[in-house]
Amino acid sequence: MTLQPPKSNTSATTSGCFHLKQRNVHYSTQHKYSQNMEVATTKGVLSHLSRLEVQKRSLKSQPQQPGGVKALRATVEALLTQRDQLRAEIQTHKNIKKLRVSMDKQCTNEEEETEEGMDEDSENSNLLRLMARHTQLKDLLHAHNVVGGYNVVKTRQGKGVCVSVATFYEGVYLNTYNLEIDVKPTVRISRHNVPPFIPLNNLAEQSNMQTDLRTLLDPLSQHLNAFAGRQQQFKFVKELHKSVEVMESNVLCSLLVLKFTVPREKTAVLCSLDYTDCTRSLPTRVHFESDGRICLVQKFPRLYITCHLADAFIKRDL
Amino acid sequence: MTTGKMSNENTEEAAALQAQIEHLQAEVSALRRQQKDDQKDVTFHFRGQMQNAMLSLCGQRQGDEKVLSMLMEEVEELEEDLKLQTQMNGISLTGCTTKTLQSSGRKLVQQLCVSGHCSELLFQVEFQLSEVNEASGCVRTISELNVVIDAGEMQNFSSFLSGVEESRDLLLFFRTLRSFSDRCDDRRRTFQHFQEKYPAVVSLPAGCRSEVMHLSHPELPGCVLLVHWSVHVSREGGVSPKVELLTKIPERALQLFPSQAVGGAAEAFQSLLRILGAEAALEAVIMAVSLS
Repeated sequence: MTLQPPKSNTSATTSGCFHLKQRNVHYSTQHKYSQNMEVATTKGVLSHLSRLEVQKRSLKSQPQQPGGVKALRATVEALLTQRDQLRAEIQTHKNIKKLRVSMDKQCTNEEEETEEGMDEDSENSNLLRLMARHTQLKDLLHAHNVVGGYNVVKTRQGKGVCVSVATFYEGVYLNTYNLEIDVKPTVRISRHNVPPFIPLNNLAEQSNMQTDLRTLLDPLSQHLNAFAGRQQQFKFVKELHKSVEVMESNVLCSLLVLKFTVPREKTAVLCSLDYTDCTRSLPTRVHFESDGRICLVQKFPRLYITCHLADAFIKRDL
Repeated sequence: MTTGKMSNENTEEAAALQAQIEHLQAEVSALRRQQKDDQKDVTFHFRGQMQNAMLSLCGQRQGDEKVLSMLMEEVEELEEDLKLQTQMNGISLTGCTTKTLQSSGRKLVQQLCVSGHCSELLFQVEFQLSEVNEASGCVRTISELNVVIDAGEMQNFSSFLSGVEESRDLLLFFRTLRSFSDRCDDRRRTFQHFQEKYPAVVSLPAGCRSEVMHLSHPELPGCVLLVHWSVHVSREGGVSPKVELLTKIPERALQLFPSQAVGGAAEAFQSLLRILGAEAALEAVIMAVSLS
């Protein structure tokens, strides 16, 4: 199956919370930014050194000036400082990583709390510990996002929250749907980009959102993920089978009628799939029809398997 | 005149310094490469307050006290945020280790190992997360998903887990886990509530987290009604509670009371369940058992 690139995370029609910091950090882009910063500083030192190199070559024929030696000494000092700084940074990095490993082990109760004999003074070791904890927290927050958490963000001094519902199918993260919710005086959805064919208002009414927002978000997530799954399957079916023509489908992707034509056989099979349960991405009814023959089956795992079955049906194997 | 001698010494010194410069340049380049390697792991690529703290530790920044307090503030914000996410997501993540497998300009591949618990159910998931920058945006995918849960619940979950690993549906795993945990919590609350309200009749021999609640009248210890409340997880991730009433009544007692009321209790309970729902149906049965 080919990868389906997702639509953009934020919708142009809504604003407010969508401008807030995205916890869904794109690590690769931020990484690239600081790489450029490093290159800039390296270039500064290197260009200075190459200037000295040129200077030295042009002075070779003449007796050395004391000024030249002075400049060289200064360069050596600069390089020594730079080297020591880098060594210190690398060592600190190592220490933090080591601390982090022992903190991770403590969290999973694998080890007793032991003092890693650090030869730093206590203030430095406090800072190191704090830094290690910082990395741990960032990782845990990232994990909450990656496993499909709601990315809740408090807004307007606690009067509202922003949540996002992630959708996912066959290993690929798809669209994220966002909701802006008022918390005071009552819990009420104020803005969202959930498509209209998802029964958001019904789900809100049936939920206990005044006391527990998850009673709305969990069923909503179920609906959205089932829809995303059906949508992906509908998109892929054409790529898998060149002989498929979509006769009928709807936005909710709850109804699909496909026509399979087999040129050699000069026959066509009409396949209807009903997805009456909107919380599922599997059909509840599949129906083949060709040349007056009808075949009704109850359930199928994925749509592409239905296509294989269509082949079998045509070849009179079914 | 000493100029000639001086210029010879200068030439020697200059040559020595030049050599030293070249040596140091090489060292610095090597160290920079190592640092770049260290920072490939996104977790340990420091920015903002972390960068300040790093520089302070390495002697480049003044004002250590301020650095500590500013970082402390940021860490406290992160702790608050984690509490909020934990509460809203209904899962508690206790550990997340990341290993960067590949990190180029456009692509980042990490191996993540996330562990935690959902209510009292422990889990550990391991997977590869790829982030690729394409023209249309950032595409995130999961591969090589491996899921392990508390040994006690494995039986219930085994077909679901194999399905989830096959389809790499990390998010479905967590949605289902949470749903399962919620239904187990419903059961625990209900069992505890009834045990407190009717202590003479209700007993939970295997604890409030078990699937079974015993009902019997204190004067008829041999006659027990068992409430078996199981939470089933389908391969697709559908979570459905199933409550059944089983009777453990000695033959002699049944002979004395041949009416359907006792013998057909299990079926009658299912009808009651459909009409009243689990809690009310159970309460009705308890009232009947307590003969009040």
